[in-house]
Amino acid sequence: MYAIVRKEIRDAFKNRLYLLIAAMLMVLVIISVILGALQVKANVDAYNQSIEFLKSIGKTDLPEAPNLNPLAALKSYVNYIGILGALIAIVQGNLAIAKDKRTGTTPLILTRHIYRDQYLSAKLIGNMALLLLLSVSIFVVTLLSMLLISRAPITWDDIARMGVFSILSFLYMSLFLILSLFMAVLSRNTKRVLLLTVVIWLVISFILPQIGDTMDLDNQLPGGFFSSMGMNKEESQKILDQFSMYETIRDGIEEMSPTKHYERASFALLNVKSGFESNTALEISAIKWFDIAGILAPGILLWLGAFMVFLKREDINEVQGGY
Amino acid sequence: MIGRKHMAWFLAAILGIILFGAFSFSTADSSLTVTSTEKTLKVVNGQTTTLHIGVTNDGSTELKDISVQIDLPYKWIIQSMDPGTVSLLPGESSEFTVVLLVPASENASTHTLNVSCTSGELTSDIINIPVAVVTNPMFGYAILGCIVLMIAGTAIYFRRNVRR
Repeated sequence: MYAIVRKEIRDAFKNRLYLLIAAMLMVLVIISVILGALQVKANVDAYNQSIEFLKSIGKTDLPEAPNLNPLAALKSYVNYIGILGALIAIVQGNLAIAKDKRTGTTPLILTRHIYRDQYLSAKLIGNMALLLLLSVSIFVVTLLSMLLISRAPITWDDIARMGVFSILSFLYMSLFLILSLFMAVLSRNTKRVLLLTVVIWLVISFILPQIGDTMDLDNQLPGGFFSSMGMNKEESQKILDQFSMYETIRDGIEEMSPTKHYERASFALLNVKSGFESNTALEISAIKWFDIAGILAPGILLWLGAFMVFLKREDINEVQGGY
Repeated sequence: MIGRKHMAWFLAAILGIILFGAFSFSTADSSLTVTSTEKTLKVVNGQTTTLHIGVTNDGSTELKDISVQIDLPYKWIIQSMDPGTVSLLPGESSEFTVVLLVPASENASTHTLNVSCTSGELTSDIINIPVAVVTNPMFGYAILGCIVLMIAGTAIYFRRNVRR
């Protein structure tokens, strides 16, 4: 089993497609974090300059430092993981099964003392190790960029928030890895199923949240639908009161998207969404348990599903054309 | 030239005006006092929560049509308010029972409700009530139940089809 895990990691470093997407992800994250850190640095410098100026004219009543929120520099990171992170995991998951089907090594491996579920687990562990490596690398680069470039005061709680956010990003990517493995095991044609998995990803990551946003009455016009109709808050609330069922359906559609859950929990951890400034990383994790469960639970269910599907497959001796 | 006696009167008059002003402002500010039984609130999304708002007339005149104003987050609804308005004689107090409905689409988060009372032009001080919106724990049990069922189903499936 450990031989398969090691082979998965070795193979990934030899795969150009994997290396290309991983490099793209790293470069995008580094650029976005550096740009974000520079923005924070500009805010810090502007504040310091105004303090110096006030001191120079003899003012003693100095304004407090504004909430610079260095973590907001990571906002773009959430979008990149949502797109490229998920895509890299899908490619990894598909390749893990496709390469063995292409070379016909699956039946050969299964002649050894290894169960089918162990074979799948080894594939998962190997690829999850790769995603973990990617997440840790990004965390280290991000932290160094924040410390060296932004010069904003970073507390231990900020670092803990970044750590929990990295774990969440890893879990989110793992979900798509499992989805891709499940789909590759389910289908005979690994090429076609890769396309299908990408379509599923597009639906749950972009179309469902978009439907939820579009169905939101007040999202249709800039500045809000109700205010553009000249309604005050009480009047708009009276109307919303009549749409509670509609609102429940709209919310239900949004809840089906793991990307939405990832975004909600991440924005709370990074202080992009207000109201979590005084909470610790663990408290936010406890408050946002439903969003974390929204990422974890589908992964566990899909994984168990993959075990059951693979146990009954009788056509694994067939060799397929690969990439 | 102003004599010393006149100067003393002049200063006393100014001091009197300042004191009267301060006194009159303080009575205007404190004539309507708002309090809340709930210092913090914890509410499950999609459900209602009850808020008890106390109001006292600290002034010297009767105040009519006193109502509660709550600055609610988007999509939150005041389901009921009992009574709608009250009239209070000087020194009298009353309590409003406000039922708030938090929409099901509200994610787990924290908000602050700004509550005040008004009577005509007069507005009380604003009190802040922190509200923590939590997700219904039933969803957690449902998710856990699904996972346990799937694990049991997988175990049975493996026993029936023989692990290989």
